[in-house]
Amino acid sequence: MSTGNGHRDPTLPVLRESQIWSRAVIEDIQMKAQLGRYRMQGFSTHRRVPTFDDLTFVPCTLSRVPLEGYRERCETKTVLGTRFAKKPVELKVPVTIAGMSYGALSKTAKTALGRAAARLGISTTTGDGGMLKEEREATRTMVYQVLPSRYGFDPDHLKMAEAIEIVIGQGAKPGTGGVLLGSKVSAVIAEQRTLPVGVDQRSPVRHPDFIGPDDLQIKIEELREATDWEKPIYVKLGASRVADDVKLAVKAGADVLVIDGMEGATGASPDVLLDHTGIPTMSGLCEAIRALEDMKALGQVQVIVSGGIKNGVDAAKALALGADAVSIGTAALIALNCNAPLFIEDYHRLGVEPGACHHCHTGRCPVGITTQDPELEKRLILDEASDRVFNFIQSMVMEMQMFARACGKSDVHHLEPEDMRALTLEASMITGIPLAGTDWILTPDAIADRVAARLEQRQRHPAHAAR
Amino acid sequence: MAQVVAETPGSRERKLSAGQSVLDAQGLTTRQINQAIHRLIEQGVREIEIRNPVAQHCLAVAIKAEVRLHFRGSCGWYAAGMNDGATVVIDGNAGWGLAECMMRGRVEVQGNAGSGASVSIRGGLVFVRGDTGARAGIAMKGGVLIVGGNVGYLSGFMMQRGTIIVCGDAAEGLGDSMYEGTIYVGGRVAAYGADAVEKECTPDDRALLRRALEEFGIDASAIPFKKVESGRKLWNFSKHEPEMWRNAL
Repeated sequence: MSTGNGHRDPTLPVLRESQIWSRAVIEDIQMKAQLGRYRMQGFSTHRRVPTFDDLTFVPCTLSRVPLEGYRERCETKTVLGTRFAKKPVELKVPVTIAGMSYGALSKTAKTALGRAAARLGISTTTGDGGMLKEEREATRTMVYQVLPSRYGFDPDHLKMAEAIEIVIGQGAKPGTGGVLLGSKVSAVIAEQRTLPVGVDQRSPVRHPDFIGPDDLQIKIEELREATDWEKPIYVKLGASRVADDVKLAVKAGADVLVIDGMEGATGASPDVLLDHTGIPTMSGLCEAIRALEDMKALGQVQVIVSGGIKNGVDAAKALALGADAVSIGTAALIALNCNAPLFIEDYHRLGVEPGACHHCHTGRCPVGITTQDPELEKRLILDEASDRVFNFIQSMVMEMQMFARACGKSDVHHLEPEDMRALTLEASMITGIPLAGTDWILTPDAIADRVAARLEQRQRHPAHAAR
Repeated sequence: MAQVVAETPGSRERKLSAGQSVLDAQGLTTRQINQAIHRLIEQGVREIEIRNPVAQHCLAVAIKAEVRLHFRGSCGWYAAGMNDGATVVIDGNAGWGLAECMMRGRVEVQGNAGSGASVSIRGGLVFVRGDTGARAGIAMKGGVLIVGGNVGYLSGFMMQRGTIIVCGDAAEGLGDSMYEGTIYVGGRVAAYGADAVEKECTPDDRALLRRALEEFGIDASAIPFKKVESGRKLWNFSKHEPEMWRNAL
């Protein structure tokens, strides 16, 4: 690569790229210069944030006794909604399928999730647009969302559900409403949502009939009256000011809190919201648990955590931090076949590669999951798709049990913070779990306690006393 | 009023002849009142007069029966919410969320209603003889809302289908971002919302208004109604309408 005189060939590309004006930033500006608006995308944030990966389990050795991995029982039964509801929800395992709308997802995708959930003894959740008949028939335990848009809301469907989830916000984009671009508002979806065909649907963010926490209390009472106080009422919060929100939701009468962190995904959102709003799932969970402890409501109000839960390891760590169950959305879609290396030419038409596709918002999903195009939807084979979701969640359960047994626990719900160590200072400070290799807990209170203890020690030290 | 023929032991329910009952709600909780209403409906009662509702919240919610419930007094929030077939008459005022998400039926309020009256209804008729607070009829997906007086801020916001008739004035933001549906306003509109467009009433519109209002003793011909519909410019994004979208997005 020399010009012959020992100098670098000046025609070679310059390798020194700006950290400020990176290729991604340049591409972003030029796209917006064409669009005249913010950019939209599906999926979730691309950012690296503190996650459950920053924690590790410290299983039993000499100081603790493990359970036999393949012989001794490890319970997974999970009960949600024990506070006020006459009929709490019982799940065989602490996993739920998160709210994803028929509209964002195809009918086949929703039905496959319902079938898998029924086999696993877990719940699925409706979404913007209301209840899909095929999903209701397939699933045994259904959570009916009450969303600000009230698209497709039907009191008969409310009564048919096993639980009710009032959506205050979602982790992917707390403080903003849902979006379904016109390409996905087909005649069927438009009729279900009472919208014109092909319209860019921008859902409201505020509920039409209540605004603040005092209002929420009355809204919860209305929903209980409408369902004879039978069904647990979940309140879903996009992780933001979690401690305050949790306390207000508990005071308003929630049975179950769903804390959805910023790694949570969506069918369509301005991309800047995904990357720059909310707090990480792990942070949101820890804040929620501390808030419940403050209110002496831990155990009385159950917590479901969601947002970027990708396997049984994340689920086990979430349980150890205090969650009663996890909720999965994207992971279930990936199990269905999202981003699978099939129909690659259609990924290329979208300008993406399998493994890095986040074009759910276009309605052109190459594998038939996030589409309303009947031809694309045919690519998702119902039975096979349902089996894949079943298998994946089964693997999650086995992973959870594996960690619990290794930590000497006969119930996955017995996992606790003491079973883990932090691998980063950030994770330690967020969770209050000691950094691996130390007994330090780097929370302000702990630091203050430690400083006070050292001062006391110094006061008692003979050298100090002699002065 | 029919004669009292029986009194349910230990309750405030008095059964009247011909499928009618009176329920004295004084001192009862919301739960007790609603349970009593459901019990009477299950027993075949088709007309229930509820005395002393004392503005309690969440009364007569999600009633799925073609019955007539007459509240002799004011109701609190979410009165007749999620109604599915009942005729509910409230002699006094009603709080927020009156008849929210109603599917079918009829709800009449002789006084005023709070904010969010008739939001997101999919069918049926809501009549408020007095005024309503803010956000009346937002996200309506069908049905009819008639307001004898004035409506507050952002009424008809994101309306999807159905009809709103306001005999008095409308505050700022009327019909903001409405997709479809029609709003008629008899009085002054403080300011239209984004993409809400005022149109002339046609003879068909005037006939519709006359029919809708005459049963409530309101002479539509004496009111200079104007019609408001969606300009449909917010249906799909256009970078050529930057002013509109800066407010709408």
